[in-house]
Amino acid sequence: MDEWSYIRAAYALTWVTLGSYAIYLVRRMLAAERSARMAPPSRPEEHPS
Amino acid sequence: MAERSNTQTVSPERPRWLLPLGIAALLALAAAQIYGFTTSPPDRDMGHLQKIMYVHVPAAWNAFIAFFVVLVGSVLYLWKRDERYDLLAAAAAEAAAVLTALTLALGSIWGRPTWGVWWTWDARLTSTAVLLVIIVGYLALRALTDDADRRARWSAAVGILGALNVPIVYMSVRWWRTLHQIQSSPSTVDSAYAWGLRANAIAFLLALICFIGLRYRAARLERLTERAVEDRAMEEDSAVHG
Repeated sequence: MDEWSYIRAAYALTWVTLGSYAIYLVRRMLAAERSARMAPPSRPEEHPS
Repeated sequence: MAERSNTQTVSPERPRWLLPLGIAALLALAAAQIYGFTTSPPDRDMGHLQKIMYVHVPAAWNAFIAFFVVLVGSVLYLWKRDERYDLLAAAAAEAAAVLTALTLALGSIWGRPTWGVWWTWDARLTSTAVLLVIIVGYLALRALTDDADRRARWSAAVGILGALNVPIVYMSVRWWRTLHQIQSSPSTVDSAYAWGLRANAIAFLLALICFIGLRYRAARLERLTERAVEDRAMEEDSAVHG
């Protein structure tokens, strides 16, 4: 492999990793939003003041 | 501390800043990489392989930042016992795991043509691998613990332990002189590479903020839904049993 193959591999891995993780996060957030809309009303979150 | 509590809800409406930040991170990553490629001359020793620095080093720095957020969230949770800090730490921990794994993989790709090996038990590589094991352990612990309070306390302890390992990883190249070069930063690299490195680090930081924001929001909504389901189950149970 020449040096450009390693460089291409590094940049491709970066984009695939960050892109896949971003897609996973967006899907998870959309699913959480759907579930939250469909969930029955609940007690609000409690936080110590 | 007083036992008073205030109540807050999570809005199903998405924060307006998330989408613009995501687009900005994407554009910044592309622009910073194009800038790095077009402005940096081949390195005297490594040639064009130096360009891997623009992704490897920002991934490592931002993994460290994510660990710092884990530390802050964990300490604040143990102090205030506010679930939001626990969820913030957990959101940052997931991003830290992704970026630490990416750092190791990119380092391996860079190491093969420059050192002649994919992996060696160098102090920097080994301490980074330990960091990855700790943060994966943190995520496994969260996934395997059902009780929310115990999950938050235990994972805060593991999160603090992981974050305390970061200075060891950072200083390992000075404390133990092995194969890995000293820390790359705008002050230690040639000035021809400094702005490319800064630009890529900022682009990665935007992506990291976006990741933590998305994961934190998903976690808050999931917790809200979990609580609603628990409430409904308790209501039904009390209705059945009088």
